Amino acid sequence: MLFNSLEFILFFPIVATVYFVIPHKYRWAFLLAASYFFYMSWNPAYALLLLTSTAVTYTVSMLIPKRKTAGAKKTLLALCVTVNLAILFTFKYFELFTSGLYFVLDRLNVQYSPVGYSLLLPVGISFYTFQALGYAIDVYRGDIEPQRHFGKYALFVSFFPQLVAGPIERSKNLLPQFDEVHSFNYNNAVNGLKLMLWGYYKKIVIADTVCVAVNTVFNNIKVFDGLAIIIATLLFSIQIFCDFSGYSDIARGCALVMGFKLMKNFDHPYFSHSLREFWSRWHISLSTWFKDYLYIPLGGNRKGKLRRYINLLITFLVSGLWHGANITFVVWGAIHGVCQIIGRITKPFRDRIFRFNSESKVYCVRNGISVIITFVTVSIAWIFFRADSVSDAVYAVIHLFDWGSLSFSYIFSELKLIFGTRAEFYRLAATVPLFIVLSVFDRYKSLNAAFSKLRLPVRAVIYVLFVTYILLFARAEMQDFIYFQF
Amino acid sequence: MKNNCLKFIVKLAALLLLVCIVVGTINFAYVRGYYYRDVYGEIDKMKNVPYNITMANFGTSHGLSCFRYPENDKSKFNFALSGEDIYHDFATLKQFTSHLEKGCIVAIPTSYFSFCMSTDEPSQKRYYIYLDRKYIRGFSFESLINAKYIPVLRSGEFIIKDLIKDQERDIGAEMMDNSAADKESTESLTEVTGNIPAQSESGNSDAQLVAHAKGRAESWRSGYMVAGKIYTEKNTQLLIEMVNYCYDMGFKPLLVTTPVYYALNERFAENEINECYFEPINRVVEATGVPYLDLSHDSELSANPDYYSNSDHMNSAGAEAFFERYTEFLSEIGYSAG
Repeated sequence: MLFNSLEFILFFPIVATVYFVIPHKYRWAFLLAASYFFYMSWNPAYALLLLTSTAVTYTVSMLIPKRKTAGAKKTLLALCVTVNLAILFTFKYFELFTSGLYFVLDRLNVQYSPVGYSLLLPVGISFYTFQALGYAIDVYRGDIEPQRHFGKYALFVSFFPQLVAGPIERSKNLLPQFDEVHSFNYNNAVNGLKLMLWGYYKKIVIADTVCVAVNTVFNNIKVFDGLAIIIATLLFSIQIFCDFSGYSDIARGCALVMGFKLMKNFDHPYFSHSLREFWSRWHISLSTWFKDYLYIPLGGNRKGKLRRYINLLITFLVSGLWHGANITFVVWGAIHGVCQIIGRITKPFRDRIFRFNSESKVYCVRNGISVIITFVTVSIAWIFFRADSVSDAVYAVIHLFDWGSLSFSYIFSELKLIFGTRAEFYRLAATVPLFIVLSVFDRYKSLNAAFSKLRLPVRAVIYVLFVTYILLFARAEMQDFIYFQF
Repeated sequence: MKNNCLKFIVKLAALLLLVCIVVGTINFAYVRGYYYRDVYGEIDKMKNVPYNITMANFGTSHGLSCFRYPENDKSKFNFALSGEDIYHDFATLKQFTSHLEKGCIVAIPTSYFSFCMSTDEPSQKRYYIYLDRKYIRGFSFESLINAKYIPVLRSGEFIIKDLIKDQERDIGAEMMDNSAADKESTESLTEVTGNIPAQSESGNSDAQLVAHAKGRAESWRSGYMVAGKIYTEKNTQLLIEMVNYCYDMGFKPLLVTTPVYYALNERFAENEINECYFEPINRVVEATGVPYLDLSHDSELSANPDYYSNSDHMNSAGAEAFFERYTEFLSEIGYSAG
């Protein structure tokens, strides 16, 4: 059941209404049932995996505090991590592993036939596995008390708004909220619906619109010139942001309507001045997860510069692999890791050279340039994320500036090739520029705050026009959320 | 809390009502606009299919352009739709079976790409307008509501087209002048969106038709004939079922390959067109014994540029010449209407 499907549009109001109508003591059970129903609408069998992951982490987390020695606790945690990662490996990475093995053995002239089995990747497996593991690690570290109520813990892992594409919630934030008594709150409901509306706008109007041109180019990358590749790359940057942050907004909005506050997952990432800042604004729940549960345990920045850089690189490589079982994602992670290392190495020099008064115009220009450089770097890295293979991505990067000419007819013919039809171009022209304007406005003056200051009739007109606009420009062919595959 | 809840519900209901009014108003204008009439106009005929039909044809835009019955003759009906695949031909036949007289002559024209059209893709929205739910492939209520009741939903770009009075077809004359590669990605959509490329009723010069044939062959090749081979078997079986269904219902079926300009035939290698088209259609003939009229390489019809609006669609003069040959063939095989 996709957020952008008719089924969900019916499902959610029913769930929210029933949630407020039934007594508090039954709400967890109702939400749990609704969450499993939501998840099983993809494939009922995969609910077993969700249940297994839940049961294993719950059992281990209950046992850990009872073990007296650190070694015993560690063994239990290792068991929990192994089981969860084994499930993830089997369903997500086994094919990559066997094809990698085949590649290596083939070069060593060793006869090997890859095991041929195809399993459908369970939706959201990486998200709920990491959420459950985060909980187990928190219990192991003594940061939280284990949740004794199995039902509530199962709800924590399967809570439907964030089950399939995050945000990857922390137990400290979400678990206590299941014990709170949520009465209907007008502000929560309005703000939640506003967030959902904004999320839908980003997903079904912007992301699904630009994806047509992006797919045209990236699915046949070698047919296109540099100009088309650049346009497609920029559009993909918009697509992936709108797709993923749109999902997060809908998830946060749904939860907020029912009184749950999920963590913010995106905070204007394309306005970052550096890659480091980008990762504090992009997929925040995952970035902080990796920081807390991988980077810091590896030693973080406490063991010298070299070790710090290695830790950083490992974290980004794993992050890349988390995103998908393809070498392109690993390369994407590596690019981010290496660029961050370079950024950190060169920071002292750059700071010395570009030292300006923070109120001077030059400082503003420098900031603007750093935003552009960061955006371009991120966009180029997205090529590896989006391309079907590393060779396609390398081809795209090499041919970025391989333009025919700068004549109007050349640009026009390229645009025709990318967009296919004039209607497609009109759709893009009617949607993307408005989104960019709204995003810039939101970055510097909160859109929500500015909107709230307007008088009711004006707000009502804007609501009606905006909803109508979404209904008219929603893409006819429903697209999956990109992050579902992770 | 109760007051808050009531306030919320009232405001939300008022907002939804206003949205419905605005969307409804735009929808009212949209379905009367140029774009909607242009694309969905050809479906209108399906809303008024007469009964007691004694001669009918199905097929794609090729059938649409060749079978031109007298307007006031309600006993003959052209069911063809541009870009129609065999599955939807069959579905349309089943839907309107009760409109056909026993002994009705049912011509099933097929196009070079017919056997290579996808048999998996969900039905286009136009089929929701006149086909029963059971015939819709990948039925969804969302599409039903969108197609049948509120077509304006998700049609923003076409509203813009109407607003700025851009009556250029998505895939139109503008594209005809460009290279085949330009058209490759877009022309394949012609068949999907149901748009018939801009056509000239007055005929074309040989050079124009030759140029068009080049682009057309490329677009068919890239759009269907290469990747679509996996569908050949399924489409062949569907056509066999369709022919057998005609026999079971007491109709008189025949297969037809409509004429195409010689230059288009020249664009295809013999083994290529055999594999994609003639082998499957001959298998249908062998399996069912259905009469087959193949005018694709007819020396007279294929060579005359005055018969064509473009390299694969006949104009009215061409349609007249075609129909003469068609009726001759009907007498040869002993098919008489009724």
